[in-house]
Amino acid sequence: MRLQFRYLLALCSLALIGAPLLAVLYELSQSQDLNLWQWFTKATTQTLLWRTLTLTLSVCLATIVLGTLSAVLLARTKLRLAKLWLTLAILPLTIPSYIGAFAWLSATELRGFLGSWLVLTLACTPYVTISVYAALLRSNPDLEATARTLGKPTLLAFWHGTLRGCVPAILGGGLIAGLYTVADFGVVSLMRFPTLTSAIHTAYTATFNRDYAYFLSLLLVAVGAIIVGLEHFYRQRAKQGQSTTSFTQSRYDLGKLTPLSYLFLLLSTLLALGMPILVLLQRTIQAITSGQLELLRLLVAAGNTLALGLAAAFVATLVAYPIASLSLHRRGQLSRIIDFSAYLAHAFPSLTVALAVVALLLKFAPQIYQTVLALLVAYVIIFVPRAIAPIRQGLAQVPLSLTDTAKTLARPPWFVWLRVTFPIAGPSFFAGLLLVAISIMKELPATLILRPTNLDTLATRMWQLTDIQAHASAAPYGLALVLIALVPTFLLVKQSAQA
Amino acid sequence: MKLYKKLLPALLISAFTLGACSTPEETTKSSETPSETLVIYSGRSEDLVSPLISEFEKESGIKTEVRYLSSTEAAQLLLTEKDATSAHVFLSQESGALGLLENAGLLSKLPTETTNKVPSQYSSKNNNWVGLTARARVVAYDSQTLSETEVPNSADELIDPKWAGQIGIAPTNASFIAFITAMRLERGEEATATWLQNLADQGVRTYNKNGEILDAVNRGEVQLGLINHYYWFGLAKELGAEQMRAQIHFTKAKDVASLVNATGVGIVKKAGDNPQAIAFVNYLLSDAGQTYFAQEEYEYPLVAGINAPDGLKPLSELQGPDVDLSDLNTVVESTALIEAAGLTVQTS
Repeated sequence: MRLQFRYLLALCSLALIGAPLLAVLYELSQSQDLNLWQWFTKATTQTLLWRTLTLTLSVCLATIVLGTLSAVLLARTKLRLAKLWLTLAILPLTIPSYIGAFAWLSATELRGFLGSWLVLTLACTPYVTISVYAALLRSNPDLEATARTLGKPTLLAFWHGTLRGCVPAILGGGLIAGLYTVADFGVVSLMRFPTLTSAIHTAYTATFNRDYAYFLSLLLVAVGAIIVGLEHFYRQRAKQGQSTTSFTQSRYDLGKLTPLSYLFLLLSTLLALGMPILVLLQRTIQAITSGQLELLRLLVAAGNTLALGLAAAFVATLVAYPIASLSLHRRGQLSRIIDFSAYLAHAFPSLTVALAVVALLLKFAPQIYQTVLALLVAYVIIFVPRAIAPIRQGLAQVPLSLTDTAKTLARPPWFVWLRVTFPIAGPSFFAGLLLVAISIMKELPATLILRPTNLDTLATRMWQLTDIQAHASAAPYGLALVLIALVPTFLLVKQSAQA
Repeated sequence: MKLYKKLLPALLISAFTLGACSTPEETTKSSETPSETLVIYSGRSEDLVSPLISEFEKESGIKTEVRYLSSTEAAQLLLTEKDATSAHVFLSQESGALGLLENAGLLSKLPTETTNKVPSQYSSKNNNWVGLTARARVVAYDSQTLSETEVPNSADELIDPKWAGQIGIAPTNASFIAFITAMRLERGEEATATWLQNLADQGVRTYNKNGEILDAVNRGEVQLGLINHYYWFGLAKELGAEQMRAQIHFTKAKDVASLVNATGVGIVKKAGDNPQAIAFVNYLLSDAGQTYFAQEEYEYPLVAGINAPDGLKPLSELQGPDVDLSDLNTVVESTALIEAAGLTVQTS
C-alpha cells in the first residue's frame, strides 16, 4: 500500500512535468502533412544536430574538469581564504549566461563555437564545483588514509580512496551543465553559432512553421536523452558512498604548485565573474549619470522576481521530492524510468513548454490563465528536474539504520520523517531550493508569455530595454539580478561548507 | 536607511500587483461587463508605444490593458489561445505576423472607412489588418571607405564579386525574408535561388538582426549591410548623427532591394464589432498617432497628408517593387531557398 502510494505520487509529479511533452506529441499527431523523416534527413537538421551535440559534450567535459579541479583545490588543499574562493567560484551562477555572452561579445573578438563554448563553460562550471565540493566533504577519509599507508602515492590514494566515490556528484553536476547547454538559446544566438534551439526560434518567429518547431523540440529532447542516459549509466556503475555527516578532511600542501593554483582560481573568477560584472557596472554608471535609471520600477521588478523565484522553487522542490525519494529507495525498472523521464523534460525548450502550458491551461484551467498561478505552474514544470539531484543527495545521507530503528520503535512515518529524515537531509533540500530559485529568477521566454499583464520581472524588463538597444538602461536590471541572487548564493556556500 | 524607505513601497507595490494578478475573477469579469477594458497584445515595445496608448486612454476615456511581447511571440500566443484569447487588438511590428493570423482565420474584417485611410498595397487584401507605418529597405554603407555613388543601387549590383565578404545580412530575420519573398514574387523561384547562391558564394556575413548589421557597418566590420531605414536614425539618436560612420543609401526606384514593408494592426475575430477596438485602430491612424510614429521611430506615416520624418525623402518618392504586402506571407518557401543557399546566422 505504502509502496503503491509512493509510485502514485511520483507518477503524479511526472505527469505534471511531462504534460507539455505529451501536448506537443498530441498536436503533432493531429497535424495534416508531416514530413518527419524528410525533416530529419535534411542537411540543415543534421548540421544543427551535430553542432548541438559537439557543443554540449565539450561544455560537459570542460565543466567537469574545471569544476572538479576547483572543488578539490578548495576542499582538500591548504590554500588560504578557501571560503572566499568558494563563494567566488559559485557566484557566476547568478549571472544569466546571455549577460556573460554580451560582455564577451562587446569586449573581445570571440564568436562562434569557441565563444559559445567559453561562455557556457564559465556559466555552468559552478554546478559541478558545488556538487563535487559537497561530496568531497562528505566522503569518508579512512579509505584514502589506508591507501596511503599501503604505500600508494598521494595522488593515486586520493583518486582511489576519495575522488572515485565522488563520481556520481561529478556526473550530476555535468548533467545539469549539459542540459543547460542543450536548451540554451541566448548564448548561441549572440555568438552566432546556430544550434537546434536557434532553428526552433526561427521556426516559431520567422517561418511560423509550428510543426517543424515541435519536431526540433523533440529532437532536442532526444539529445537530452543521450546526456541523461550517459549519466545514468555511469551513476549505476559507480558506488554510491552513503555517509551521514561530513568528516574533517586532511588538507594537502601544494608546495610549488601553490602560486599556479591561486592563478587558476583568480583567472576563473575574473573570466566568469569579473568580466560580466565590469560591463554591467560600467553601463549602470552610464545609466545613472545620464538619468536613465528607473528606480521604483527596478525595485518593484526585483520584489516580483524574488517572490516568484522563491515561491516557485518551493513548489518545485515539493513536486520533485517523490521522484527523488523513489529513485533512491526503489531500484526497480519503473522508478528508473520515472527518474529518467523527469530529466528528459528538462531538455524541452522553454518557449515550447510555455506555449504548451498556455494550451493546456486554456483547456483545463482557464480561470488561472494569465495569473501568477499560471506562471508558477510553468516554472514548476520547467525546473522540477533541477531540484531532483539535491534532494536525492540529501536523502542519501540519511542512514537506513536510523529510520529503521525509529520504525521498529513504532513511530508513525511522519514522525520519523520529521525527526530523523528532515534534520539530516533538510540542508540539502534547502540548497536545492535555492539553486532552483536562482535559475527561475533568470528565466525569460516562459515568463514573457505567461506573466500577468503589467507584471515586470528583472529578466523581462531587461529584455524589453535590450530589445530597443537601450543597453545602459537595461544594465541596472542585470546588476539587480546578480545582487538578488547573491543572498541565496551566500546561503548556499555556507550550507555546502557545512555539509 | 534611505534605501529601506525606497524599498518598502516597492515591496508593497510588488506584493500588491502579485496579489491583484492572482485574483481569477478579474479576467472573467472583464469579458462580460459592457464598459470593458480594451486588451491589446503589442509586438511593439512598451517604451515606444505606451505614451501613445496613455494619450489614447485620456482622449477616448477607454481603459486599456497591454501585454508586451515580440510580434512573433504574440502571434504564436494568439494562435495557441484561438477563441479563448482575452485580446481584442494585435499591434504588430511586421506584416508577416499579421498575415499568419489572417491565414489562420483569427482576424476580423475592419470597416472600409478605416482601411481606406491607407494606400491599399500596405494593408491586407481582405481588410483583415491595416498598415500603420512603412519601413524602407536600404543599404547601409561605411562612409569611411565608400562614397555614396559607389554603393550598389539594386539587388543585382549587390552580387557583384567586388563585394565579396563585405556585405552583412540577417537571413533569419523577418525583414530579410520579406525581401526574398518579394524577389520570388517578382522574378520567380529559380532566379531568386540563383541570386541567393551568388550572394552566399561571395561570402556574405550573417547576423541575427538589423541592429547588429548596422553596428558592424559602423565599426567597419563590413562595408555594406542590408537593413531597414529607421535603424540608422535610432543609432544616430543614441550616438549623435555626426558620430555615425555608417550612412544609408536608398536603392533605385522599383527595384526589389527598395522594398517598402509595413507595420500594422488587426482586430481579433471575437472583437470584430467591438467599438473600442475600432476606436483604437482609428486613433493609430489619426494625425496624433501617425505623427507620433514618424517622430519617435522615424517610420513613414501611411495616412496621406502627414509629413515624413525630418531628413527622409517622402514616401511617395520611394518606389518599392510592384508587390502587394499581403502576398508576402509565403515565408516557408522563402526560408527554404535561403537555407538551400546555406545562409544561416553564423560566424564566418
